[in-house]
Amino acid sequence: MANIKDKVCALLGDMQVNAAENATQKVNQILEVSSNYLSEPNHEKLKLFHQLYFGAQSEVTTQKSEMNNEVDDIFAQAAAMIDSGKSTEEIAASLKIDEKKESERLQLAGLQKKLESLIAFEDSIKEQLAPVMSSMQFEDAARQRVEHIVKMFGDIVNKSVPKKPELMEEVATSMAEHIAIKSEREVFYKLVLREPVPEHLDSDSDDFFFDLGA
Amino acid sequence: MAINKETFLDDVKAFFDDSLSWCQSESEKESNLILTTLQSIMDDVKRRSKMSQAAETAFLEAEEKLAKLVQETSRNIDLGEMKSELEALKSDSIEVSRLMNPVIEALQFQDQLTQNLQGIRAVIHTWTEHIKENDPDNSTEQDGKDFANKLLKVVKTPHERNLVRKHFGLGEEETVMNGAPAGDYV
Repeated sequence: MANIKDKVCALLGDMQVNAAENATQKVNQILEVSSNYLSEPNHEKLKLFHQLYFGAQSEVTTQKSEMNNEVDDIFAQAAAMIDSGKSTEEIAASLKIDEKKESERLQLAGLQKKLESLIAFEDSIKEQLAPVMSSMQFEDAARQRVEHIVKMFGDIVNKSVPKKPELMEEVATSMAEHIAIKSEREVFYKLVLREPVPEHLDSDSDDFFFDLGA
Repeated sequence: MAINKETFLDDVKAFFDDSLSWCQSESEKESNLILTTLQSIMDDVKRRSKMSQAAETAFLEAEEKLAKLVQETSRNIDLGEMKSELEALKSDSIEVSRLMNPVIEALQFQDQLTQNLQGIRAVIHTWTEHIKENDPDNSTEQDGKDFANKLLKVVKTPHERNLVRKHFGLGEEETVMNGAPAGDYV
């Protein structure tokens, strides 16, 4: 029979799924609203954009995930070097930059350009388009943040914090590895790790992928 | 790493709160954007379509009320209240109804998402308080039920309360006439 720790983690996992579903449904409705003022081809482009960027198996999601893993790897390497007493400069100099992953990062940038051109609507409707794009970006950012919280909560619960203080540093390191958003990392370092974000870790994406010029 | 072991759990809780507050704050901005969009669409429809006198009157009335609602929203109107206001705006005009329906649906999902975020926050807070006095590694079945009962008092939506019941083996949700949360289980 599952113990209380497994149960609370499973509960939060289900709540996370609910939140993600509601965010997606809301965007779908906003897309429907946009059909009132967009021409059919433009509306189709917007729907395609949503699928490409936010779909469960989307190309962007996959590449973002790979990039996040890369950041996680770099973080793990850095944490190990910090533990061994190396300075920030030494760490920055010796971190391995994987050429294949660097190429993937460039591909992601290329895909972003492609998506931007896909939604290059005429100026007259850009203002009306902003809520749809904003809604999509919010969906993505909120989903990521809640996902990170649930993973981090799992670390806290599974390592029995605060009953086992000897594991706290390990937990803090593991929690930091789940973060992939710049502003999120800044707050985590400030409130939990109580130190500035090392410069070499300052490569996360921000909450919003596109600048809507709001 | 400069973590404070004494306050670590509270520090983490503060981080979770900050992240969930970000989501809630952005969510509120979204609601206002949705209404502003609806205003633009209504302007556009009015320009493009030939409406009967009655439909045009209904449309103009709805527009006026919507403008008022947008003003109120900027002062943080409750989402549920906003949804009811929009329902009232639909009047008898099919044209207005057709425009409003997806907006009302969007606000409904937005409202549910806000409640989901509050629910997640409530579970995290309840757990962090629970483990200050209990050892989860040595918990009994009854400890689990006691914890679930604490959750049932803070988790607001019936769906989430049912999830609590499902995961902690409390059985089916009680049917309560006024839809209030079911009582404690022993």
